[in-house]
Amino acid sequence: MAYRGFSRIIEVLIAMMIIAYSTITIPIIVYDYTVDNSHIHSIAFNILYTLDSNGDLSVIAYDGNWDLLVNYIKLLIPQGLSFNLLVYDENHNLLFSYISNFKIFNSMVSAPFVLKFKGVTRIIVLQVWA
Amino acid sequence: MFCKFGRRGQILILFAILYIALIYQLVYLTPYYRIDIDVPSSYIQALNLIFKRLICDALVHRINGGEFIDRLNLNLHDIMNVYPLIVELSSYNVTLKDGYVGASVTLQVYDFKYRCRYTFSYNCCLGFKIVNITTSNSYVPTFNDVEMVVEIFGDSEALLKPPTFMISYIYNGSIFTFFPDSKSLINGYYVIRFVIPLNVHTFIFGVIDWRGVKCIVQFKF
Repeated sequence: MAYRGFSRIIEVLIAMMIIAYSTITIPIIVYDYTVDNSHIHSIAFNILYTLDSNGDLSVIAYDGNWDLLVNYIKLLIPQGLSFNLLVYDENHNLLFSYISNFKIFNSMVSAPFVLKFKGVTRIIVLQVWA
Repeated sequence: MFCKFGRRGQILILFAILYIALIYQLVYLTPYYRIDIDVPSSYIQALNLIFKRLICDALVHRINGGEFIDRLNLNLHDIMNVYPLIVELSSYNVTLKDGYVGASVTLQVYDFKYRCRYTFSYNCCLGFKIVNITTSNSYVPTFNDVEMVVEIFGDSEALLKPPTFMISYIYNGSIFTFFPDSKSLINGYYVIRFVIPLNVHTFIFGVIDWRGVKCIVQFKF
């Protein structure tokens, strides 16, 4: 008689554990995937790499056509992400800056890209946040 | 014999299964979403491209009369100011000859951000072969029509954008330089048409790629 209903209690406990386990674990995975800084960092580097893999970024930087560069980045950056573009010369003097919007953010990643092209040095820093 | 749940260790078995599941979660799932392997790959891709560009820049500097190694060291120093890296030049070789220029460089890179070491090898080069050259009387008096077919070759980036061709010759003691029109045929083959004075039998033909890498050859009729 002492064990009557005991298995039901165990089943309920296990069910509660499984539900609790699912509710804790699944949101963490989704949360990390969407706004993880390392992922945004990867996106920032991918944008700069994509732009320069066919030489466009080097040519744009050499010509100083910063508006075109901003347009390219706007095309490549995923929706929901904001960016700040900073361009420096070899002495770290700021040549150009652009901010896509002034939305408040908790953290931001920065992807620097050093360009050496036909004797001209430009350091392009793409800062991205969600 | 009928046995009720909980009497013969079933509860322990269930807890053991739960325990194994939690260990599995800890060992496999936690690293899976905490370590993002895309970050190093995109970072290394970008770094690789940056090094490639700066070696081409040093080669361009050498072609224009500067020292390759000085420029390369300066460029590497600039990289180390921006990234947490130590870059050591393992070996390099620069070749400048008629119709071909190239630089091969091997770098050892110590990355403090990801605590690893890379070995990068690069080859930046550009060359050409004159496949065919024909001359004919021009409709412009005292000039010859010249048509050249050249094959351009180089590293993977040399032909990302169409090259520029340059013709230079001396006429009556003056140097004339111009950039003739060209037309792309098939993979790396170009046809170039221009006119030069009848009594000019020597000219310099040059190819300049989009990165500024230039190779020349002196050509005689």
